[in-house]
Amino acid sequence: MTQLSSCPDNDQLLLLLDEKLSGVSEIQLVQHLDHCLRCQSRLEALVNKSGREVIPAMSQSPSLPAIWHLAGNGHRSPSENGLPVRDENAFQQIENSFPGESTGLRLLERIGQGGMGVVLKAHDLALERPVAVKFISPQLAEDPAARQRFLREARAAAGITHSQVVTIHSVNDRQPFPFFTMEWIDGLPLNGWLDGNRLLETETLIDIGCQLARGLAAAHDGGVIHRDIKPENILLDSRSGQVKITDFGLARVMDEYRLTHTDVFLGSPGFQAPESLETVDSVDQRSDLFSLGCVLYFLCAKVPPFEHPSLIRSLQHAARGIYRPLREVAPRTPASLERVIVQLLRPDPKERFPDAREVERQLQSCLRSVIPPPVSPRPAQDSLSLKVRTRQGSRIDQRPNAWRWPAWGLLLVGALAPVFFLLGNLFAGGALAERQEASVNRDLPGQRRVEPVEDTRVQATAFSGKHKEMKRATRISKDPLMPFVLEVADQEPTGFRTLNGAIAAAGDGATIRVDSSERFEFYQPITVPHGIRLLAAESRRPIFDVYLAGNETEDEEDPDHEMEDDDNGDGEGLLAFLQLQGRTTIRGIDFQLHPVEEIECGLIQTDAPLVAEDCGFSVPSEGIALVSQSEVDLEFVGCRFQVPAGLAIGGEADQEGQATFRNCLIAGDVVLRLATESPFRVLMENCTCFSNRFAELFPGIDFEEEFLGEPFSGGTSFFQFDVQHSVLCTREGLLVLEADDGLFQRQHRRFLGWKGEGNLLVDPGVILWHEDGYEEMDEISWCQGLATWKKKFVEVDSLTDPAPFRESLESLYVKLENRQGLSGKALELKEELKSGAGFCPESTDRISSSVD
Amino acid sequence: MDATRASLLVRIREASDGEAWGSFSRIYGPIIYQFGKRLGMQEADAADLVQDVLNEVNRSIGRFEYDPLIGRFRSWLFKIAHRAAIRMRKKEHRVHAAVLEPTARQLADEVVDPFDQESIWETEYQRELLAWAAERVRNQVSPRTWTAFWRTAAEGEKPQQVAAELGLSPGAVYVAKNRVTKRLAEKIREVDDTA
Repeated sequence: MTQLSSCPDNDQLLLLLDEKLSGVSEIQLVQHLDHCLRCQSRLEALVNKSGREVIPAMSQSPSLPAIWHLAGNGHRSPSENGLPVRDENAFQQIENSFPGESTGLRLLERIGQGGMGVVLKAHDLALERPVAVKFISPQLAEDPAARQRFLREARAAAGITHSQVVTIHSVNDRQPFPFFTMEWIDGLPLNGWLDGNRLLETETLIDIGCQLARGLAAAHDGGVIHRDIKPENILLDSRSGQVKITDFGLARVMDEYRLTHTDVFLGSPGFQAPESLETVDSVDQRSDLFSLGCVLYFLCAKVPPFEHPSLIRSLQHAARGIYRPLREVAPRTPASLERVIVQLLRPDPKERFPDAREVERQLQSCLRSVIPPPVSPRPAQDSLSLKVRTRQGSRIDQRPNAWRWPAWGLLLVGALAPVFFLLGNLFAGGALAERQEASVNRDLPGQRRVEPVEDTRVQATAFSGKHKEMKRATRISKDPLMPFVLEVADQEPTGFRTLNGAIAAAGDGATIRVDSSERFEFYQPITVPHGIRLLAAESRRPIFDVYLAGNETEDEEDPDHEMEDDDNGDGEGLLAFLQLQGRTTIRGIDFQLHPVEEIECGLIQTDAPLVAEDCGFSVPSEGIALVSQSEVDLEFVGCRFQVPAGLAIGGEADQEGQATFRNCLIAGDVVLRLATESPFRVLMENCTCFSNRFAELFPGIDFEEEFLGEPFSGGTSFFQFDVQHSVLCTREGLLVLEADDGLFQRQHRRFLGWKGEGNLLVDPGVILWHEDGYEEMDEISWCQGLATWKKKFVEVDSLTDPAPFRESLESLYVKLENRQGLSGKALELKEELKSGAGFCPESTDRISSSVD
Repeated sequence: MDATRASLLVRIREASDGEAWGSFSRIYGPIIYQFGKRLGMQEADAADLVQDVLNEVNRSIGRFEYDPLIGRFRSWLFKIAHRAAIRMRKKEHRVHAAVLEPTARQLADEVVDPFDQESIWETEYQRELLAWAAERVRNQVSPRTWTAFWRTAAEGEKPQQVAAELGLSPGAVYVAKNRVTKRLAEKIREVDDTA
């Protein structure tokens, strides 16, 4: 057969690809392709022109799951439950050649397969217990060097005895497949476990980090480096809840095999230290620390920091330290933990922590900072890190980063209140505020008051007949130990030691004055069966710290239930601190909710009209409902809400309701969440609202349309929303109305009064979301001007967690910057934002004085 | 090819064309399923998502204008899947009318950024389509051709080395690799408008 004298043209090549050439021509062409480099690449180019988009995975480094799938290794790609995909052939080979019970083992089931080995569950006949057996993979077994290395690494790893390391029982050099046995762990690899239980609490996560660091420290002490720390190699024992590291050193077997057999480096993208790209020997214990950092990042963010289908590319990113900031991906991550992870992920090993023990120490201190101690003794006053005095002293002294979470320096500047207050650090390591009133309660230096539980219960149950006696028995006036002063017309004020005591003694409409600026701790919900006025005494600023744990005792002896017999039991499902059953006024009190467990709880639940003036409501990031229940009239004046999950209003009442917000600051991922079955009206005047989540799921104001019932009488609107002179700063939009059936478009849109005079709406002011996509309406109109804005900045500084709201402001700046043709106030505002007003804590003084 | 592809979309508009629906859900079901899983759903939820999305497609395919220039069927499908996923999340977490779900914050953290969702969608889409096509193309070629393709295109091995091991000439390996790639591309183009 003769060879082609010249290169074929494109048509010829295409015909070849489509198998349309005659046998002889095809053979000639193929022979030509054997050595014509130019035609080889032409052929590729021809196909790639059409196939580029189809098979991107193949033009670069392929993504592993796609490859598994493609290779026909099982129908579902790997790790349905975190276990590697199996190559049943490998199992078959191993099972067929297994010597049998002479080894003391009976093979039970196939578990999984990794790069270098195959794992089966087996029964240890002598000790009568399950064990895991790892065989070298048939492919590697053919290489004597790999076999030796496999056995050597297994023996080295067998020397590690630690509760966080999977124990190796025996190492067995059998032909054809050497194996070793390990303890059997009932559980799943971390990645598999995460698939099913997606939410890892921060504490759990840090605890896992500590355990891993301990396990690594033990291994490193014994001179063993893991080399391939990744979620697949970390087992979570479902019995003990402990994590155990497996496959110590075995990655090396694979590395060396690959280095000698192919020039392709393969490993676990996403978790490998950059130095592992160099030589096998450039890896040391700090490489494991890098991988540990990747695992921690993965646990927080659910994606590895360097996730690229190409291992090389991901290692390049690792080498340059290119990854998305953790708190951008997982905003819930505490800053202290992020700092540890950042240091672990340093490209230069010298900049990481020196050893695993140090990592554990660092993680332990993170752990301490995230667990709020509900009943721990307060630190002495000389550990103050934040000092604020009252206005006369007018000196605000803050740590530069005191506003950053979790150092919750909380400085509240009431929109109406003429006094600055400090709510101290909530954490054990933090400080207690120095207070003007400290002298009043000298007998309780640096301590919080705890609302005694027993006392609460007794008095609440004794309420019905005995309150007169109790009143007499506890009548003491002006005693700092009796800060709850009950005022009844024509009677001497009566002091009570506990709020519950005062409430129990009060009649309908009575006034209880809180004559203290203490922090009070509450551990039980309080039901107020009638109207009260709960007011802070003149120039007093009490703080109610509410710690609510599960209410498992609800069914028995719960007096609340007897009292609300005629109620329809709306409250089920919500454990609220104050359960209000009569018309209530609250003034000048700051409430802070600290759920003890992750339970559904809130601060206030009301079935009756409520007025709150100059109050602070703060719930932690776990996102617990703050105010809820019934379409009654709610009025908030000069209140500050820090409510990540927003204010929930809703219920099943059969009357029209209304919520009014005046001079309020509402900060949260959702501003308002409305689920009302009756017509409802929201009025907002002079308010500032920040929400910072993706609008699609967490709009500034969320309607749960499925709960909308009857329209207002004489109208077609279920819901009215009027905003006047307010700043509504939301990340992606104020309103998202999901209107599958066109409900909002047809009936609601025109009743939304949000375009009222004097509002500042951060664009895209409104997103209407309906069938055919998004409709954005850019609306910016202007409020009173910069004075207002400056005031808002100060308020932002007063939030427990201002960072997200600063981000809102920053994104506002970016939006303004990108907007063409800014003029007048908008331009001024942009300049103001640019010059940093409100962004740096140091400017607080300046701004606050200008507000005064 | 264009005709086939357009016709599958056209055919599923005819509610009565059960066969077209069958192929449609066989192709796109796994994509939606994997998408749901990657968003962190449990198996059952991901299966629900598939149902939701297919129902939605069924309802609104009539409104999808197929235009080879603009019509990105995959983006359209993504929008539907994305919204269905959000609806499911909201429903899942909506405990009581009056009570704000306690996990709103967690939910927010858990929810994947829409931008990332789109890239997840792209990945799953490509991966599943590729797998779907591979399953079909693989049966049309000899095992040796497939192996030659596989080891060169997917595993990145050198054609010369693969050729030696498979007893083929290097030219034959090049031809095998590109033939299969081309077929895969064509197969995928039968059902996807962007490839």
